[in-house]
Amino acid sequence: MPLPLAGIRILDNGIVQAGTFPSRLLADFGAEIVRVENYRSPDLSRNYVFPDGVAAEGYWEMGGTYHEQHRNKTYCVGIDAVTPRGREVFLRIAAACDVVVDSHPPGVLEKLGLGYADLQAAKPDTILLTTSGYGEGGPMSPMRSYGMMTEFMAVSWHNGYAGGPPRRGTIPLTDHPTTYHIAFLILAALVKRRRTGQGGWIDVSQYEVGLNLMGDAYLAHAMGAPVPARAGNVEPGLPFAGCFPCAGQDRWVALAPRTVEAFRALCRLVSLPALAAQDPWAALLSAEADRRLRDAVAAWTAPQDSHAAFLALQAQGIAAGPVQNVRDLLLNPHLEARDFWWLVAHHPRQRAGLRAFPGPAAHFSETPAELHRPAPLLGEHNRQICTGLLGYSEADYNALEASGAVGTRPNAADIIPPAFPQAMRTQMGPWAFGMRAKEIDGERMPRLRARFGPAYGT
Amino acid sequence: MNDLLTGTRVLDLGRFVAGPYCAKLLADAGADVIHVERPGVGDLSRAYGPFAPGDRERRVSATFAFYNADKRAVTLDFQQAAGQALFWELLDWAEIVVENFRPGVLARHGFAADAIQARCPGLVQVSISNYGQTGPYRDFEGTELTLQAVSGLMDGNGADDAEPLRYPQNLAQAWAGSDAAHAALIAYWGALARGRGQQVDVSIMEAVPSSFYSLFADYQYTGGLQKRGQKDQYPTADGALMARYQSTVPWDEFLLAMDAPELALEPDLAPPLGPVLHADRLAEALSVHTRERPSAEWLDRMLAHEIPAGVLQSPAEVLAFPHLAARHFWDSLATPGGPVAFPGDFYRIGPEPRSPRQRVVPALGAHNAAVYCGLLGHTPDDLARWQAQGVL
Repeated sequence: MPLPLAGIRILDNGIVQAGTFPSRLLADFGAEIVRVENYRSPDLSRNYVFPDGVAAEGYWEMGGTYHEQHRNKTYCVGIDAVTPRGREVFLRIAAACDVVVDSHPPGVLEKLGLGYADLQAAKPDTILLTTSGYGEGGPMSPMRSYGMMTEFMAVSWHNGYAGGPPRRGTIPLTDHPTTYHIAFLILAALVKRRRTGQGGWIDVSQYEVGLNLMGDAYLAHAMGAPVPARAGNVEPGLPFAGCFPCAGQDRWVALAPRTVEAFRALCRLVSLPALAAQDPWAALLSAEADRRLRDAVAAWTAPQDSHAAFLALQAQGIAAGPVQNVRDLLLNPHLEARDFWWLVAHHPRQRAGLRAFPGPAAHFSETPAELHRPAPLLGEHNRQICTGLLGYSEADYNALEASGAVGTRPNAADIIPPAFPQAMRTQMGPWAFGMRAKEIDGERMPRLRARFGPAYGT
Repeated sequence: MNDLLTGTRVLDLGRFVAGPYCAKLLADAGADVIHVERPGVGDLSRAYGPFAPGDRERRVSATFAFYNADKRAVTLDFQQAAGQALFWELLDWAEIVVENFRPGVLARHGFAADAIQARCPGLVQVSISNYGQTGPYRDFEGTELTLQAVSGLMDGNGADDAEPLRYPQNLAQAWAGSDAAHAALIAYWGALARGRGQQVDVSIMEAVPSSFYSLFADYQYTGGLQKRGQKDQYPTADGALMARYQSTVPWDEFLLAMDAPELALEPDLAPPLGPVLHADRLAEALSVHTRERPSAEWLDRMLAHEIPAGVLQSPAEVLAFPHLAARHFWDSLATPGGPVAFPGDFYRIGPEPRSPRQRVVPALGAHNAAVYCGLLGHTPDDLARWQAQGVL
């Protein structure tokens, strides 16, 4: 059986994350993606997370964030859409696609003469999916924004330790689930077009996705219901929960017994059989009993490996989870058993060798997702798309290239980002050059090679 | 409700958050969603709350209302033979079924995925679970807290020198629900084209890290593990501002926007290295200025200077935010205490503002007659009998 989305073609004009990731999700299930980039000033995600932290000649092909976000996308065409001929190439690709996805700030496409009306003129039933921090329309619409900012606005007030101030986490929270919401809408629009023959324009506000992810909390506030602000590591409705330190640096296990049997099993496991007589669902633990139990759990977890503690808790029917970082996830046996990781073999110019990236979280029984290729190079398919899909003659294509309407080399091609000294990496933010190193794990390559094979990382 | 999915038939066996959120996205996009609940008690979130202060009979739970408004609500006990027969009829009707029981529960009641597929070859079966339908953790216990831990979400939240922190509400479960919704439509698209459905297995443990977009490259390329703690945040007169220098705006323009032009005279603070090497000093110097104005003023100022930024908003501020009013974001929900604002769609179709909707929370079994008699063609006598037997 062919992949479900075979025959769907998508123009991906997204930048950074929220706009680029949805087409990756659809590529995994057979959609053909034509990634379009302004080759003169290509996507920011090309400019950091270089293999071993070092950029070199041709650095824009080496950005790890780009590799991870664009794996499995079919084509890349480098265009200067400011030029009339570049604009024409864009419009001809759009006319050959079912869907156009864009995440430039509101108004950018219109300024280039590539707004919904222009796209519709090129293809009457086109589907345009746009996304920005605050959406088209409304006073905040022009606001420049990244995921961490809409997270700050929509989520962070609710996030914090019990009794503490609001906090923001490290990952740009609204970005990630927004991508699933956008992919959902692209497909819903395709279903409508199949039924009615009509395309349309759908615009997604990332801030409003954040409000929906917190939707029950906002509804509760609107109802005047008592909602605790910043409850920390609790599980609402359960009398006992927490996050406890394990052996090693920054290792933790979270747990929350869901039933009285699980609660009693926990008390016995941590050698507090006296507490096991209680039913904290019937009568809440006293502050003193709660503290005794916390101390006993911490004493039990402290000398243990977090994964071992997790397995011991689960063996007793106690809901638990080790706090996994990305290294733990890469080496996790459950994810291995479910074939979660995709080993992507990169192009020599990407200098990344073989690397493991997440596959889709949806496992299909009949048509499982397929990995076909690494992220395409900048403008890798300029000639192929122009002379094939778009029907330009070879001579016309050569003229496009000569005029700069299409290209493969950024304006800043010679400004190679500096390699940062190891000691500085601890302070780097991802928006400088992408090193987020808290520690360099000397054992990581042997362990990852043992897990993914000897060619891994070479 | 809009018309994207008009005519698409969805059976929602979901409970609590992950399954119901998946089906909510489908329902809000126009699909006909029938939410099946247990007779007598219904979805546990009906009793979970929170409830409005005056709602003594606990009629409108915010959690249940948010995830299940505007669905058709029926009851069914599929442990009884009559209930099982009705359940097969509902499966025959549906194009997509969404469930988030523990793995194996439906099979134990005679509804193994393969058996369903054999009878309903065109049906898309979406199963959401904590760890997935296969693998060594399949039958493990989980809660939102432990799933945020095992999925990698919690690792980046909290203070660097303290324990990792759970994000609020049921974020990981909703996250997985949105993953399942897009996966459901991928399989549905295939079923529309080829007449064959399939089973879709989505786990919360995988849905979260599958959408991380750089963390795995960070670690594998540079050894970088994300650090807890927070950056780019400054106190304001009444809250906090988050703003970030980036190269699209000149450094002196950024400083001007932050009301700190004098810092341009300190070359060691300048980018690209200054903001990284002297982050603490810079933050301190900027904070002196950010404290002098309220958050709302900073937001306007950042907007005018095109600096990427945001401010901390309390729920009251969100509910009163003019931007959301201008976009007609809020729908309305009737409650015993009167109409209240209900978070509306996160998207617009076409350039016009959306029309706010009156949301309806169905009472338990409110659509039993419409579905079992109107849709499936049974008689009111059948309905009365099943109700007496506790099937409905």
